[in-house]
Amino acid sequence: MVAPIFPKSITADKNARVLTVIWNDEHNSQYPFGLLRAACPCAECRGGHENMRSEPDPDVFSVRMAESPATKIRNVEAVGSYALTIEWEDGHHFGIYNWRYLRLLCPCPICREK
Amino acid sequence: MIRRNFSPLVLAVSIGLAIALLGAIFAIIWSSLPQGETQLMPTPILTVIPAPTATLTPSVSPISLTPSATSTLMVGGTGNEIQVGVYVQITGTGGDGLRLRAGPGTENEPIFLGREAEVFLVKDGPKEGSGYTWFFLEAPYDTTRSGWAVANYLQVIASNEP
Ligand SMILES: [Zn+2]
Ligand SMILES: [Zn+2]
Repeated sequence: MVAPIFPKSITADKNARVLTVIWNDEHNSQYPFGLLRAACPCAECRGGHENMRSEPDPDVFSVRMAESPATKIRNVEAVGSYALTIEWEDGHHFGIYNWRYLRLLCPCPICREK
Repeated sequence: MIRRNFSPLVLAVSIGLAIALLGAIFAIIWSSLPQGETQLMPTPILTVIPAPTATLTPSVSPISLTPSATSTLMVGGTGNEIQVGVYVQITGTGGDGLRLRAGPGTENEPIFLGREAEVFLVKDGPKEGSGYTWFFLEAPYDTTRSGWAVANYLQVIASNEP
C-alpha cells in the first residue's frame, strides 16, 4: 500500500492569488487561483458526470484565466480530512478537490515532468 | 406436518435476521471509517490570507499570474473594442463556459468549451453568422486551443496582457 499523501498546511493568499500546500512528504505546491478554477472538479465545470475523472484534465495547464470574480477565492474549507472545497467570489462552490487530485494538479516543473 | 408449516416462517425470519446483521455490519464499518481516516490524515492547518491588507506575504512568491495592486486594474474599461491583436476573456456565462466553433456560425461544430474567465488572443474577425458577431480566438499558451466565439460573452482585457 502506498503511503497516503495529505497536506500539512494549506494557505490561500488572496493577495498573491496563490494557494500554497505543504505536503506530508515536504513537497511544496503553489497553485495560482486561476488554475484551481480552471480545474474545478465539480460536475458543472467538467461538463456532466460522464466526463468526471479522478485526474485533472491535462488542458487545464494551458488555460489562462483573467482576474475576475470567477478566479477570486472567497473562502477555503476542509472537507472532512480528505479534501478541500473552495468558495469563489462569483458564488461557485461545488468543487471538491481531494488530496490526490490536488497533488496531481501541482503545476511545478517536477510534477509536470511526470 | 408441523415442520412444513413452519419452514416459510423460519426462512423469512432467518432472511430478516441476515439483512439486519448485514446492515449492522455496514453501519459499524461506515461509522468507523472517518475516524480511521482522521488518524491517518490529520486535518491540515488552513489559513486564508485576506486580500485588502497592502503587505504581500514574502513567503509566497507569485508564479504565472501577475499580482496587481487593485483587482480592477486588468479589466479594460468602456470603449474597448474587440479586434485582432487584443486579449479577451470569456465572461457572463454563469460558469457554463462558451463553445468555440470550427467556423463563425452556430451550424459549425463546437471544438471545445472555453471556460468562464479564460483568456484568449483575438486572431480574426469580426464575422457575421447566425445573427451573431464572431471572433477567432487562440489560447496564449496553446495555439491548438482555438476557435470561433460569439462576441456577446467576450470582454477586452488590458492590452499589456500577458
Ligand atoms: Zn465547478
Ligand atoms: Zn509539484
